[in-house]
Amino acid sequence: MKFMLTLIKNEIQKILGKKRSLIGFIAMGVLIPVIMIAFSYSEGGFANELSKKAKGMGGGFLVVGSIVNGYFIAHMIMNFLWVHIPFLITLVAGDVVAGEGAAGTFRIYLIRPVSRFKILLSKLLAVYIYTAALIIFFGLLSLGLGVTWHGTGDLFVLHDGILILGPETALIRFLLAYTLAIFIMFSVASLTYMFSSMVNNGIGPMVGAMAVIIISIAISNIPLDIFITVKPYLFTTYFDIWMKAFYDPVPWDAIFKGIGVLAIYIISFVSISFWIFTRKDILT
Amino acid sequence: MIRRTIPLIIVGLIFTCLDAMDSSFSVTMVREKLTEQFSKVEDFTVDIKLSVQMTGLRMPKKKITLHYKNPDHFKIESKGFALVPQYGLPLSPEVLLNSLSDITIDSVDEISHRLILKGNIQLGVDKEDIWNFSDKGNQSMTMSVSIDTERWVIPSFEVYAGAEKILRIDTGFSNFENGLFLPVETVIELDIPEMDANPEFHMREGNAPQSGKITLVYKNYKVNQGLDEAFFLEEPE
Repeated sequence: MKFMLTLIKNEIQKILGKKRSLIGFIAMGVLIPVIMIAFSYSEGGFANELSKKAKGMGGGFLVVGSIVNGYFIAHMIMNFLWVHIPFLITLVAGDVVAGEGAAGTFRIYLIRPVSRFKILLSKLLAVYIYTAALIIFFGLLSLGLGVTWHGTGDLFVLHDGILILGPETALIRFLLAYTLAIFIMFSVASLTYMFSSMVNNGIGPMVGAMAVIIISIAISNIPLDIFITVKPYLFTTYFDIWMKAFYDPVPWDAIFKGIGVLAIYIISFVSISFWIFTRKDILT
Repeated sequence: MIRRTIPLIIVGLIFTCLDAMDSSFSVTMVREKLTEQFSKVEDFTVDIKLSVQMTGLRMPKKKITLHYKNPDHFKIESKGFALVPQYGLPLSPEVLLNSLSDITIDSVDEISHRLILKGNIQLGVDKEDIWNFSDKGNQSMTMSVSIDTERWVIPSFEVYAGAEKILRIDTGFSNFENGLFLPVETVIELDIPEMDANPEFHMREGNAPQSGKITLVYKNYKVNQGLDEAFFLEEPE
């Protein structure tokens, strides 16, 4: 176990040693404060828009207070970025195995008395740790900055009309949503990792994984009969289960179904990558 | 002969009395009496517990504070964000009756001290109009207003779209002091059918029927404390 932890630590050091690994953190570190500043100047626009919507609600609903607070902004940022975060994950997961192949370090690395399985497992766990760290950083930054800058309050959500969640409920829902987001991103990491174990070039797995994700999302969203039939079996269909954390009541059935499907995909991607890599001839 | 004429005389007397009763109320007189009762309040501040149980709008229970000054100034303060049904607030009866045209007295019940006024709701072209429940601007809407002729308050009113009742508001009153009646609880029942629902209401979900109940419980009245008009012009914090 201690040996495994050392291997994981090594892999994390390798990941952090590459500048591309910091791109995701830097991108969020820049974008989220910019959005926070922008909200300081554009709060009125949202309030007015909602006011108009509410007045159309069967007549005569008055809007009291502002919907804009730290929770509202964090929720909105999550809505914006959930389709972009996979790209930041592939930057690291795509390179973690293929990068060693490209650098030619595998031939030395694999002659050590450590099984390929353990090396692969340590790399996979390092990628998962990086993925989780990125989402946690994203959550802490958007929630932390949002609450510090714009305060707490009720969370306004559009679900089956208007849904307003109290501040305490909102915080619990955010914890659930970020946990689900980590799990969703594990599927992206696993897919990219699978591609990474097949080739000796870090760019291919990134592009390949993004291509699969884009095609899969497109198929999920085109309302043709054949695509609708296929949709429940695509892993990208369940990329939005984090949103369900903000529904009331929480649709646990749909969330567990999504987790189940994603888990099957994750296990399949990881199994394929292990199967391929443990039988692979290292030629570079 | 006498046996036949006595019942006729009695029936005649009853009709004459009923006519006399009807004629003792006129729309103008009813409006004046309602305004007179309500004008006993120059201003008030009240805490309201707002509870919403309806489709299309889900919100935790809210505590809001309403400040009112005669004739039509009001200001609402809330910790956090809230959507408050304007038609459920204890505002001037004139505001309610001014939104009606062709008001007539529909019935009078002297025993239970109830009088029913009926009128057509004047729907403005403005989509944000308080009574704009429908995206069909020309749909005829009527209101039936029940008036307590003993206390001169409005304990209930109903809104109809065509023949269909879409809204009912019941208000319980209590004697605050010296014949000044103020609401203690208002229950709003909404039932907007699918076809008539304003699409703006539904945001993403299309024209699903909207129904449910909103309850407002009023507590801690502070009446006639001399609220300044300027107070109502200030933005709430």
